[in-house]
Amino acid sequence: MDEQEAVLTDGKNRPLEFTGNWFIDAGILGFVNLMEEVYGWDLEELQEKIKENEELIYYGYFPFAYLFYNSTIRTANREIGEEKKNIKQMRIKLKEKRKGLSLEKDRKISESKENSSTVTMKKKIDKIKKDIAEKENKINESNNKILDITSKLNNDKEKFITDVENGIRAIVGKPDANDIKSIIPNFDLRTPPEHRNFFLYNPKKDLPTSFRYLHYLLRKDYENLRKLKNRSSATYEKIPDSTVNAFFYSTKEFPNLGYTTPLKSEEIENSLKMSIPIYVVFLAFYNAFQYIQGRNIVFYMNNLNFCYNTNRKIKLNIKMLEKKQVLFVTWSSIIDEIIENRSNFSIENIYMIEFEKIKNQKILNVEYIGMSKLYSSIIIDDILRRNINKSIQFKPHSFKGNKYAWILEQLIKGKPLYPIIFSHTALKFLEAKNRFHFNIYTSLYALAVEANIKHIARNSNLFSDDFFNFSDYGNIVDDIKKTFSVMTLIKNAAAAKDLFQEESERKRLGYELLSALRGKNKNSFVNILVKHLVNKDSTSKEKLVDWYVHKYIVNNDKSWEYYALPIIVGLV
Amino acid sequence: MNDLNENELHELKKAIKISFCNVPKNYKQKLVYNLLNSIKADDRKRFLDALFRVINAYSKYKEFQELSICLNSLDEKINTPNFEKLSNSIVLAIMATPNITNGEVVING
Repeated sequence: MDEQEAVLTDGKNRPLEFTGNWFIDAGILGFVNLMEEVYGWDLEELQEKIKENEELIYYGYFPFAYLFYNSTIRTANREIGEEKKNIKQMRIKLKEKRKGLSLEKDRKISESKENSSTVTMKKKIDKIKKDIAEKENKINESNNKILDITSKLNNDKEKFITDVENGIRAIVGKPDANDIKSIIPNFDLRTPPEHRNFFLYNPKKDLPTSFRYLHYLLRKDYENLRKLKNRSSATYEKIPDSTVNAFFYSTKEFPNLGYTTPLKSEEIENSLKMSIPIYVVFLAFYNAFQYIQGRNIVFYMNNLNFCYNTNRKIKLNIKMLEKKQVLFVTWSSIIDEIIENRSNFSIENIYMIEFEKIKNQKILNVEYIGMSKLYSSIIIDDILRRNINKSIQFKPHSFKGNKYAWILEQLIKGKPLYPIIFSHTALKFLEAKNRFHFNIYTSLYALAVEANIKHIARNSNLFSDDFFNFSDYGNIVDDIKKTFSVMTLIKNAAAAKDLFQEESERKRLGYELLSALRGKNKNSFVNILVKHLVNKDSTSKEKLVDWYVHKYIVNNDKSWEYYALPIIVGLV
Repeated sequence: MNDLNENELHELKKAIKISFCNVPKNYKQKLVYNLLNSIKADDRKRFLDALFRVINAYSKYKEFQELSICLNSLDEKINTPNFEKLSNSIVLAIMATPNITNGEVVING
């Protein structure tokens, strides 16, 4: 025991390791990401460098990387983003113009037969052509601008890296004496939303002051910090609060929130036996997150290599693909990584942490999603994952217009799928055919998954026998597939042409059944269905009545809705 | 007592299937409509009334005599919350019987 502790507390040049606390680990991941983005070192290289000389990395390379990232790189990224936005707008306009041009051409052809004076027409067409050429030029200009910005950024980066390499030892030794100004040319900080009131940004400081501040902060040299800040004592530098990270609360605003006084940064460092200065974690925290579809997401696993590789793979995949498909890539990347690494860490150990944005130092819509054994066994199956890893259109209660829901995400978050599938089916009746894509198989799989989960949850107590008896989950994938095939069978039976021949009858029955289902009125549902079936003569009817309705709806109080919906799906 | 026994229900369904083979298709349709309407209106007495009328009409068949024994306990269940489930099962069972086109039976009243 003593030996182990001695190794841990010895602490000199220990490689980076996760601590098991997601917050700290996300910071470590952010640190790795930041160093990779600025210096181009991957995890292995970084570990090597830390082994060689951790002082240089933590107190020299890191502060410069942070400052370079928050000035030059973020400015360039913003400019590129604006140009991309311009291009997108231009493309939309271009499409409209092209459509207008073809319309005008058609009109010209049709009118030229009747009327010989087509001079005005010609003028119009010429004008549109001129517009199109103009727009195309603008797009080219924007593309060139993006290329310029990236090449300038790369040049700046190269110069920055060589300058840092040359001067770093002298600077770390004596941060006061050296002239740091020339390392980042045109230094201008961009205030990140997460650190608005941080000393560096309020008001913006010059490069030497910024570097010295970060250096002392990381070294926990409070005396020098106080001198630099011209204040009586250090504040959030000692006791980190919401100024440093929006996940912390402000001790001034909410003095009654904690039971004890907040932890000092040294106390956190010591209790977690961290080898890395705590402020590296705080400052680089947000670099761990990736911006995916309007949300900042990090996939957390309790192993640094695994976590780093997975998040990197997701990042690469997102870059390669169009925006629309982003959602579908994330989970397949994770599963690829698991299979590739033959890792002992299964998908159960994954957590997803996401937030929407930071506004006025308050963090909005934070979600922390762990994955239970049950869901992971569902996700790990290729067929199930492929089918529920889709987003479908639905109409939420408190929303005008239609929205898309990502079924897999809803499942992982433990939100009910049935209302979405119900709304999706109802939309099929309401929307015009060409404007709506009805996803039958995703709907049926989602219903099958949830019906089976409901079946498993026999006991509503949290720590019932079922909770500990995992052997039950072994069969769930097979059960879901079986349920799915039953549902498909009945959907086909209801869709059979010899049962309800007329479109109008199908629609009327569909509406009636939907309203019964909306009211969760089982008897009314059965009543309506049977009444429509009485005078029918078909093998599909026998299937429906003799077996399905009796077994899965009439004699099923728990999950009859899940089995009733496929009948309506068949009618659509 | 109030709970519906799975086995009981199964037996009842089987008995109905066997006995209603003898009933002509049109009569069965009419009966099903009648039963469904009484279920919808939650008129339990009318439901039993209609059902017993058929049993009475076909009482010369041995199968219907057996069915009436099965249905003996039905009267007790008339006021239980499970009645709807039971009645729906009966209707579905009647509908699921194969049709015999040349019905020879004469229907009384």
